[in-house]
Amino acid sequence: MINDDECIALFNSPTRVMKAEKALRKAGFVCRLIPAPRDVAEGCALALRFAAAELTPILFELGRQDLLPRRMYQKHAGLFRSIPVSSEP
Amino acid sequence: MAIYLDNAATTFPKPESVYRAIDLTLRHLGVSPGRGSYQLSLEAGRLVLGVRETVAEFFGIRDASRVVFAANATSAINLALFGLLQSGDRVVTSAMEHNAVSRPLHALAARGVEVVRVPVDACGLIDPAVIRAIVREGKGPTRMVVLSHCSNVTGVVQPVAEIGNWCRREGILFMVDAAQSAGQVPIHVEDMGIDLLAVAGHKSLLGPPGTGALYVAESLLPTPLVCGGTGGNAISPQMPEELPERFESGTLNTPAIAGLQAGIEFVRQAGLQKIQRHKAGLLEQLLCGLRGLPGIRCYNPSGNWSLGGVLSFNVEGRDPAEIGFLLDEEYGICVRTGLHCAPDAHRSIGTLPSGTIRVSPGLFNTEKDIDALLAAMEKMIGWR
Repeated sequence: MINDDECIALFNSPTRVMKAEKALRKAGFVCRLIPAPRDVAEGCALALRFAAAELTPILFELGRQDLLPRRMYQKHAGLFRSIPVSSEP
Repeated sequence: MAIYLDNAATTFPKPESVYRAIDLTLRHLGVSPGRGSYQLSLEAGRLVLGVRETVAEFFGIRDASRVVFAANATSAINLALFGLLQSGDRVVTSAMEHNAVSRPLHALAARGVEVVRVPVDACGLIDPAVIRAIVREGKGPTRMVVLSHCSNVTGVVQPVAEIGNWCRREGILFMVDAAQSAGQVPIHVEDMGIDLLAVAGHKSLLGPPGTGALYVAESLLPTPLVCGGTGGNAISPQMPEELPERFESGTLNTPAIAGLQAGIEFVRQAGLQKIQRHKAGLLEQLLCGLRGLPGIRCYNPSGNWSLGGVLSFNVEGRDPAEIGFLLDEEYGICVRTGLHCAPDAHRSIGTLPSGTIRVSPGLFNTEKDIDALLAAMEKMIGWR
């Protein structure tokens, strides 16, 4: 579901994660909604998955749209590593 | 085929695109939106988000997540009033309100909310200066002013922009019941200083029954009236603070919401002004014809009277209920008689307890329909 060197973003509501997906796709980014893995989220939340290489421009775009996620993670060597959420470069 | 002239209750028929949208969605996307992570559920969720954005754009709402879907304007109004008002709060409303506002306020008054009703003129128009005076004469601060934008009885359109912007300067919440005006009269929540806007989807927005929405300003967090599953953060026993999920427990009516989208798109493409002109033309035709009949009394406001899309009248010495019955029984014409769920409004215009005969043409009515109504009235009561 999530490969190494991919990131996931968690938002505080289903509407917000869908808004984020729509905004990113409109801006030309490749991203996908997936069920949030149990390692990082309880219950049935959605997460937005994208390539780690696009982390900076994606965070910038989400910040511009006032849609910064609540939490973010990058998968590396099979483990999820927390990423600070900020749209500042 | 009946001639339907009760569009102020609910518009009928709907544009073909509304039927198609509902049918297509129910057949191909009839899954729970925003609940699962499979593609169909996501697609349904995207559809709902798209309609939310359409509603937001239509009413000048900056953040679409502040648009909460409801079953109708009544449930939206109840959510806002019961969700925000508490014992000791003071609310100013008008003597023209529909029971959708009056009854919740009556129930809240029994819980210690002070409710003050401002008087109106003979056609139901509110003077903003009277609102200002009543707010200022209160012993304590006024928490909220709540008004209907457009009367479902006389069609009078209230000066909500003037009142709303004054309320905003004074720090008073301003709530508008736009059940009649949404899709009939332009509404922009920012320009009009509106903090809470309740709309019906099934009236002039041309959506199906079972649709409505509440706009909640970003600074407000009402208490939910219904608690349950919201599709996220399921492990918490608390309702989420985030909107719209906080107020949308349970499965949304995606097919109806898709129909609402088609209805709003139809209104946007036709243009509000063109729709207004069409209905106003039919109402002018009706008023002109009624004036030629004996014993008719109309309750239309002065000035741009047909803006609200309804005309109420009575026939001297005749029960409006009987006129309505005969129009239906003998001529197949559907009009609304009685109090229109707005006894306060009828008290204000002097038509309590028997009410009026109300005609509200829709987008698909024609001059022939009004001719048929006038011909039926003439047969019933004769020429002047």
